[in-house]
Amino acid sequence: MDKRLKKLKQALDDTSFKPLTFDQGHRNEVMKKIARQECTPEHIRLTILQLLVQEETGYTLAGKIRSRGIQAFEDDQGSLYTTLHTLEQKRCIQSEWREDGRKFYSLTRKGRKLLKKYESSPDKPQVLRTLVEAGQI
Amino acid sequence: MEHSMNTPIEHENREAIIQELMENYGTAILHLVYSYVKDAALAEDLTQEIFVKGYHHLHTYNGTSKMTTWLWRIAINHCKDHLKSWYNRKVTVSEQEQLEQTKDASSTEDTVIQNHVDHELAAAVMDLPEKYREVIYLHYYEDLSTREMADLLKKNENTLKTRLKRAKDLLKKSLGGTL
Repeated sequence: MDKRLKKLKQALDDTSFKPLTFDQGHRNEVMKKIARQECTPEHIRLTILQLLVQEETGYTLAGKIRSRGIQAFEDDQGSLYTTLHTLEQKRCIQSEWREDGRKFYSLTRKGRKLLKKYESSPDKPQVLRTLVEAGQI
Repeated sequence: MEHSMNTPIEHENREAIIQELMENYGTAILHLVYSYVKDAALAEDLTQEIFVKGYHHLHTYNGTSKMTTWLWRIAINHCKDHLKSWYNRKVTVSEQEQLEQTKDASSTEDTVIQNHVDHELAAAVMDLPEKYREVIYLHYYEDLSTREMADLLKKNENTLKTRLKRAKDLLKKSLGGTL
């Protein structure tokens, strides 16, 4: 009884599935889509929150942002500080001058909470949209 | 492919994992998706979305089940979401039409050379209602046991056994009792 169904794999592979291959072009497309999503301003702000789980100076932070493949600040380091300032005004992060003259950035409690909400959600893009619309991030 | 999720996965790592999953299972997922939506171009789009989704959902992989199970689950849910969506119900009425076309094309070109391949069976399976097609596909194409299917689909194993039996009855009927 199952005999004929045993040949289902071959039958489908030889008919409907024959032209269907997920090739290099498709894979590149996926990576491009991922990269595109990761480079919107709100995604960059989110990335900064993720990185500031531990405190960083603007300089070390810039390095880590770059190593994540985000090039938005490459030609314009100044705009990183604008973004940091925005996040500080939204009370997601705080900064502190040290005696050696370096300024350290870190998450506030609010920032930590927002990040946790995002990280634990099954639908991250949706959470990000909601946070952005609510002006929280 | 086994990863512990106790520590958050680094960004570069996440990309590498998705790359690896695509290389190893991209075509298998594409076939799985096609078995749900029966449209090649749509299946390609949905498969790409599934991997993008997988990238964002890597943290939901808890390390206890196999990573393939996790990926298959995302894929199946994505297909079902699509089939349930407003867009699909309103916009893709022509799906059946396209299926007829592909069936015609493949049957004319292959009848002579491929008598040993059971085209009729493939077409009959693709014509089954979704819930029956699903169990036949997972059981006979992917070689999953009813227990593995129960885990994957989060359904009672007995429900799936019944469904499988019913699916075979339907196939028998459509193939003129020759299953």
